[in-house]
Formats: sequence, C-alpha cells, structure tokens
Amino acid sequence: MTNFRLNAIGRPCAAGLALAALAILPGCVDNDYDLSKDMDLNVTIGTNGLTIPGSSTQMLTLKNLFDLNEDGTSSIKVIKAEDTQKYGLQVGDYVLISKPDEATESKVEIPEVKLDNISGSEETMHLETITINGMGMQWTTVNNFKNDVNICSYEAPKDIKKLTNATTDLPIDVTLKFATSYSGTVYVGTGFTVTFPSWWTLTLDETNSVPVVLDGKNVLRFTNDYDISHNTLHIVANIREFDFQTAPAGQGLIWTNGEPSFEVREEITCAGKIGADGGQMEQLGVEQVDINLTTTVKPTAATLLSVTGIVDPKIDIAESDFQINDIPEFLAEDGNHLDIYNPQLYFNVTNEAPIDVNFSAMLTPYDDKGNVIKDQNGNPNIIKLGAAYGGKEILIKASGDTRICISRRGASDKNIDTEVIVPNLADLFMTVPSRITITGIEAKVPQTKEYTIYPGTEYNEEYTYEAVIPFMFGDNTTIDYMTSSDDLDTEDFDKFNFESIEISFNAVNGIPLNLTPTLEATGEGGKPLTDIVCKVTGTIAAATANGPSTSKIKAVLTSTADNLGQLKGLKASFTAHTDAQCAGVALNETMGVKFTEVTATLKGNIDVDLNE
Amino acid sequence: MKAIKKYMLAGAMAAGFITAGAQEVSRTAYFQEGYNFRHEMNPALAPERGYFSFPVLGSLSLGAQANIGVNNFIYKNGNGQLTTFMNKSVSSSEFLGGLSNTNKLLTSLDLNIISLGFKGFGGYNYFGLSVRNDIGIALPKGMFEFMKVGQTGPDTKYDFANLRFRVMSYGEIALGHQRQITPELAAGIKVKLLLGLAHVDANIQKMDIAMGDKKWVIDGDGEIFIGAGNGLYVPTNAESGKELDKPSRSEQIDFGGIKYNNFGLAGFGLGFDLGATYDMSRIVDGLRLSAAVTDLGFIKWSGAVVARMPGRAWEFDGFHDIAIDDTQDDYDQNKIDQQLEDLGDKLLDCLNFEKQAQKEGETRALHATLTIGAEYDMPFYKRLSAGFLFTQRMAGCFSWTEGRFSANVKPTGWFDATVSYGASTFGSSFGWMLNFHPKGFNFFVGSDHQFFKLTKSPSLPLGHMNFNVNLGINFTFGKKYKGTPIVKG
Repeated sequence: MTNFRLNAIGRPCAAGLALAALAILPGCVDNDYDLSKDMDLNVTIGTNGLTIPGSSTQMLTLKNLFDLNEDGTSSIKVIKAEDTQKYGLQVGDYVLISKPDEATESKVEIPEVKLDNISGSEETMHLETITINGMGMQWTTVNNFKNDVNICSYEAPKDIKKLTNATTDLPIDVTLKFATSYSGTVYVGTGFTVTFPSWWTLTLDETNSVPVVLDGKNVLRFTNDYDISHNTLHIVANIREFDFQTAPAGQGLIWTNGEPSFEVREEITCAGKIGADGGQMEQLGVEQVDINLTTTVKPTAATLLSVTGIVDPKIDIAESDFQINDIPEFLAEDGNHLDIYNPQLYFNVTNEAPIDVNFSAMLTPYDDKGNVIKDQNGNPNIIKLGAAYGGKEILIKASGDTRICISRRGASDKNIDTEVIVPNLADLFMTVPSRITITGIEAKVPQTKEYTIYPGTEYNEEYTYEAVIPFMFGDNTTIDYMTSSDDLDTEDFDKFNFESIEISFNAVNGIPLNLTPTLEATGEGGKPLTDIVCKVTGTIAAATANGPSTSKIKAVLTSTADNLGQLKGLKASFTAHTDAQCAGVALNETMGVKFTEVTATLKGNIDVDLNE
Repeated sequence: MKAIKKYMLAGAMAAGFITAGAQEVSRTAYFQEGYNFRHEMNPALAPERGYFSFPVLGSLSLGAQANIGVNNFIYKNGNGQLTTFMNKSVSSSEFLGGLSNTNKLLTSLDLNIISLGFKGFGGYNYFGLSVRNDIGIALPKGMFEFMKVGQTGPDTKYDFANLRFRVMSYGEIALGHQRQITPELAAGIKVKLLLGLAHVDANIQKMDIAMGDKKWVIDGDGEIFIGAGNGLYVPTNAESGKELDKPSRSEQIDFGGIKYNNFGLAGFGLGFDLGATYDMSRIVDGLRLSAAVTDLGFIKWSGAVVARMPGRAWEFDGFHDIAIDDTQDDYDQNKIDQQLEDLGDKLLDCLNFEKQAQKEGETRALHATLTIGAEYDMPFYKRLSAGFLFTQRMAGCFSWTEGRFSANVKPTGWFDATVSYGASTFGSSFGWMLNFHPKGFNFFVGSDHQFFKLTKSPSLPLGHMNFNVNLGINFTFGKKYKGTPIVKG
C-alpha cells in the first residue's frame, strides 16, 4: 500500500517536475527587449561641474598681432636704439613712418630783367664869356648843367612787385667837350663836379688820367684843373646801385595798368668852373672867350644784377603723395576711429633761392579703394595747412635747409626749424589711410618782406615729406579687432550638444587700450547663430603708465539647439578704446595680453548622439 | 602526447567557436546518482555504471554567471525604444542602484573531449581528457559611476581598483579512482596532468581618479601577466622597431605587434581533486554527507611575460603658455592641439604597460573549489530526497559562493529529476535537471540557472546574466556500481 501510494506520489511528482521543467524551459520573452532593433544611442556624459583646471596662455604681444614684414617694407616701424632721441620714443615703440619714394623737386626761376632801353644825352651849354686879360686863369662858372639819362625796361617781369634797391653793372660814359675859338688852353677847374642822383651809387671805373675822384657815391669831382683843350675828358663811371627808397617818385618799378616797367630817368648835373688860361698876355688888351661846353653822359650797357624788394616769383611745387603700406588689417577697418595722440609731418626743404617761401597745402587721405576717407559726418577728412588755407604760416627759409614739423602737439624731434601746431591733424588718420596726397600746394614768397633776387637765375628746391605717426592714442580712439576661426573640424558636431560652458580668466593687459571682448558662434557663411550664444561680462582694462592691468572676464556659452551641427566657427571680437588714463602711452612691440587662470566649467552634461 | 595535444587543440578551437561553450557540470544534478559527471565535483561520487561519453557531447553546457545583466545596461526609454544606461532618461540612482561594488561576469568553458569511467581495481576509475577555459571580467562600480555621473563638484574622486580581466585555458588529463573505504565512507581522488594553453591576467590594482578645480590626478597601478608559451611574441615598441618620438616609450608593450607564431604548450602543472562521502544513516537514516576539494594544483607557465604600469601618477593642472597666434614663439609645440595631444600621450604613458624582464616561468595556482553536500531521503518516500550543496570557488576577486537547495526524485531506476534553488554571489537562481539513464544510454538536460525572462532577440536573460543549459549524451555499461567497502563497518 505504502509503495503504491508512494509510487502514486512519485510518478506524478516526477511527471509534474518534468512538465514544469518543460514549461519553464523556454522562459518568458520580454518583447520590449528586442535587441535586434535599433536602440536609442543618445548618451549623456556626466560633466556637470567638470572643470578644466586653470590654464594660461602665452603673452600675445603686439609683435605677434602686427606681424610686420621682416623686410622693412611695412610703413610701421619699430624704434631702434639709435632712433629713440630722434623720435622721442622708446626702443620697441611702434611708429608709422612714411615718405614719398622720391623727393619733390622744383625750380624757382627769376626771370632776367633786360634793361634794354638805355639812353643818355649830349648837352651843350654856352658858358658865360671868360675875359682873358693876361692875368692867368680866368674862370667861368657852370651851374646845373644837366644831362638826361634814361635806363628803362618796359617789359619788366611781374615777379617783382616792389623795388627798393637794385644793383647793376651799368657803365656810364661821361665825356666833356669844349668848343671855343680860343686858342689857349681851357681847363676844367678843380672842384668841377658831375653829380649823379643821390640815390645812385657809382664806382669810378676808368678815369683816363683825368684827375677826378668819386666823392661819396654819386659825385665825380675834379681834383685838379684839367686841360681839356688838348686832352679828352672821358670818364667811365659805373652805376652800381640804385636806392629806390630814397629815389624820387616815379623811379624804379612802375606799375601801369597791371604791367610793370623799370624806369630810371634822371639828370646828371655838371657844375663847377671852367676856365681859360689867359697866360701872361704881352699885348695889352682883353679877349673875350666864348666856350661851348658839351657834356655827354651816356650809359653804354646795363645789366641788372640784383633787385631788392618785394618779389613774387612763380614757384611750382609738384603734388606728391606717400603710401602707407602693410598696415595690419584690423587698423584699417572702416568702423575704427583712431585718435592719434600726436601725428607729425616733417617737411625737409632745401631752398637754394634767396627767398622765403610761404607753404600751404592740403593733405587728403585715401583708402585702398581710392576713395577719400570721410569723417563721421560724411565730410572728407582733408587737412589744410598753411596761411593760404587760414592756418598758421609755414615758412621755408631762404637759401638753406628748413625742417618743419607740423604736428598735433609738438615735434618729437627737436632738431627742427619751424613748428606748426595743427590741433585737428589727427583727423587725417582717423582711419588709417593707404595713401595721403599733398595737393593744392601754394608756395608764395611773403609779400611783406623784401628779398634780394638775382634776375636770370634759376634756383633748385627740394622737398621731402615724412609722416611720423607714433602709435600713441588720445582718449577718443576706438578700434575693432576681430579674429575668427572658420575651420573648426565640425564633422561630428551634429552628434554633440551641451547645456552651458562657463569660461573665466584673468586678462593681464599690458596694452594701453581698454578691450571689450565679445564671442560669437557662427554657422555657415559666418552667420551668427541664435541658439548657441555667448555672453561675455567684463572689460579688459587698459594698461596705464604705471604698468599692466588685470581684469576678470567671464564668458558663458549656452546652447538651446538640438545639437551643435550648425556650429562652424567662432568669432572673437575686441573693441579697443582709450580713455584719459591710458592716453598718450605709445604702443610697444613688447606689450601684450596674457590670459591666466583660465578655467572652463561645464554646466550640465554633454549629450552625444551615437546613432548612425 | 602529440595526439593528446591535437585533441586539445581541436577542443580549444571548438571551444572558441562555441559561444561560451561547455560550462561546469550541473550542481543541480549533484545528488542524482544517474548523473555520470558528479565525480567532477566530488571524486568520491562515482557514477552508477561504467560509461563513456559521446565525444565532446558527453557534457555540454552553455552559460555564464554574472551579478549584472542586460537590464542593468539596457533600459526602456518610455518611447517604446531601448536605450543604454548612459541615456539621460536613466537616472544615475536607478543605474548605480542595480550594480554591485564589483561587477563580475564569468564564463567557464569545460569541454570534455573524452570521459570514461569504469569499475575496477576495487573501486571506480575515471579517465578524462578535457579542456578548461575560464574567462572572468571584474568591473568596479566606480568605473560605471564615473561614466554616468562624471565630475560632481570641485573635488570628485573615483576608485577603479580591482578592474580585472583573466583568462586561463589549459588541458587536463585526469585519472581518478574512487573507493568505498567503509560501508559509510567513500573517498575519491583524481590526479590531473595539466597542460597550460594560455593564461592572461590583467589586474588594475589601483586606479584613483581625482578631479578637482585645480588639478586632475589619475594614479594607477596594475600588472598584466601573459603566459602563452614561446609561440607567443609580445614585443615592446623598441623590439617592434617602432620609431618613437619619446624614448621613454621604448619598453611599452606594443599590443598591435603581438603575434602567435606557432602553437605550443605554455606550461605544465599538476592538479588534484579530493573528495569523500559519508553515509550518516546509522545516525540519521537517509542522511548522506559529502565534501570535496577540486582543482588543487598549479601550472607553471613558461615564457611568461609580465608587464607593469609605471606606477606614477598622471597629473593635469591646466594647460600652460598656450600659443594662440602662429607668430608666437614655439607655436607648434604650445598650441592647444599639441598640448592636448601631449596630455593624452602622458596619460597613456602612465597607463600603458611596460614589459618587465621576461621570466623563464611563473607558477600560478589553479582556482580550487570546495564543495560540501548533504542529502536526506524523505522518510515517507525514499526516492525523494532533499539536498543542500555548498560551493565555494576560490579565485581571488572572481571567487563566488553558492548554497543550493534541491529536491531530487528518482521515480524509476532510469529517470531522475531535480529542481533546485540556489543563492549565490550572483544572485538567486532556479535549477532543474532531467536525467534519463537506462542501461546503455544516458541523456540529461537541465539548467542550474533557469532564465525566466529573456530579451526578444537575441535571447539573453534579462536580469543577472546567470544562465546555463546542460545536456549530455553518454553510453553506459555494466552493472550498477555500489562500491565494496575496504573496511566493513
């Protein structure tokens, strides 16, 4: 019984166990867990609070930013030790130096003044009868016996506006002849004078043994009685100078209906005694001697050697320009406003002419497209220099070298002759031009000063310009600098996304410019993205004369996009501006910006789409 | 010997093609007298008859043990789609809450090429030729926490210690004998000649990661042991003739240059299985106790290659002197791309393995297993018994412990059935075994870790990756062996 019961238990148990096993064997299939189907392979990497430890950059110097050509072709130079005094700057300071390739040459021609109308006169005078009585010399007096002399040029150059003096080489013959029936000897008595106008200066060139001296500058005086019966009285004097200041009116330069003429019309006066030698007459008796005195005063040639007075010769100075090459692109951007602290233009003039020149010109800046650069109001940024344009006189000295500095605040190079302050000179460089032209040049001899010029002479003039622009800014400079990276390897960016990255750093700024940074994520074609944005807080303070400044900057990059697939690049912009604290400090190649304690903290996690 | 090597090679290749191949013998069937492979767990448990196994198919198993499973890493994302644990729809508490401090995955490949048992010499004798292949991976929880959570604040630390990967593959020529010492006591012993095929043991003993706002530090130390005979060529970078920009890398292992030039035995060893059973019926009727220690032994691996991590910490305290503009000094060396590359190189230098002096040989112990069993026949039905089997595998970080209760019924002399329930290091599992063993033939099928929930495709257990299927075909002969005690009680 027991066996039967137990077998009855055992067999069903065994069968039951077997069936249960078979039922359980295949298990339950969770249809949701179909691993053969595609899975959502979006993964989120736990990065909330992941912070990259503080990093630092190398100093990014202006030398790196400017990246000037080593061959020196750039207009921007770096001051070397030997130039510090000349430019009043330190070694390494940046200065823009530009000058034309060639000096500008011009000539000043003083036209010849041809005294082609010269004439004298022959005058005969019947002298008062001399009574010869055998009592020796008997004299008669000649009073105011005049000869006319004309020295004229009716086509005087218009360059001469006013004459005060002229030097000449004007030989003048003075001949005295007598006509008489007297057979005895006629004498010109001692003290006989031939008086030229007092405003003439003569020299006595040839006396031909005539005992005559020059009294003063204009009187020929006989020092002894001179027998003119048997000798020729022919004196050659030379008019050396006309002093028109003391001349009577109507002498010298005469302007008639705008046409000048040179006229000297004067009288030569003879005076003195003429005598006849009556000798010891054996016969008693008296003879009356009539003498006709003929004086001939005649200029034989006339050369105007120099004239002194107010002159206005034509001085043509060719227009010029100078290029400004290889400027870093960011300096030449349209939106910039460069308030150059003290731009200087140096004019070196070699002036052979014995005349000062009043120089005026217009400086016009051009951009690289050949357009005149305009100010914020749309007006051309033309700088006018010189008295002709209402500015301070720029005077080029006569007969020598003149170094003129036109500057905003004064010349760095003290080795100058003339300093001209033009307060708005910085407007020329508001946006760094690629070319500056010097046009509208007016070169005039000052009409308030007398000069001695030498007609028929040609003088050379040479002008060189040099623009010296120390990179030193005033307090109103704004420069936009932008750098972008459009070549990010963005192949798999569409698989990534993040919430927010916070970047903070200290900016140690040795450049005397305040820098306001902005950061922008860009898409295709550099277009800014609206769902990946960056907010930057803080401004990098400028260095001052006391040294670099340190500023804390924070940038937060936030993404609300589905992924970073649109992101193609990053654009970093810096708006640099100056203020009173950093104005007047020159940019030096060793100055730069360094970022320290750069930390990047990921807020939230990074999503990566690993789905194919 | 050559033939043996050939069979072993064939066996190893077959094992390689069979996904996780044959596993350990079924512990659910420990108390089944008709199970011919109890002696693998306790050499004192002789089969009831002589037998020889169908080549390779004598005892075939497919399975693995792990304290992690598919649903620890793959989740439903609520949109009808599956996703990984790294998806943001899976919270870190949900993911990490399902992990253990050390997450292990073990597969054991035990391929009986030939197994033979027969009565004789006053007892029962065994002969077996098999290939055994143990693969274990241990992944610390800290590693997953790092992946999932990352940095959590200004001072975050992670510990990746005991990241381990181990493979041990050897051939076994076993000879065993069981004998009834007394009517109550039976003992058995196996002597196994071990032929080492390959042994790789990579152990990261220390991997501390600290991520702070000021500094990141990775301090790691580890070792890799490779024993695969002289046929395996494990070169360094210098030996491979690589052009190195950093001479310090000359002694690093060139993993890409590893070649297996020719097959050769990697070592020799000796192992022992010892077991005993005791029938407690005199004290408690129907109670039988058993205990065994198996795989006591060692293998000396020749031509072993040992490589160690340099043991120096990698520190990163930020990038310094980053060059921004290509006009800056040393731009190529200091630009951020280069610094990132250098950083990565330094990290690899600290984590890469440097070859130590090659040893002639190194002896390593086998992973012994302690088995203690107790079976009690139901007084109301002797063919029904309850059993408890305690198993302790001693394998370092891959050690595991299991206690398994079973209910065994043998309604007939040719059919055994068992259901079992085990609780182990890898969780709990339900087992069963059906064993058909009429005279002349034996077929068994069962599982120590029955899976109840599977993924749809492929079919994998959804929970802990504990599963296996055991089946085997053997041929039996002779009368049932009951054992003649040497000492009559």
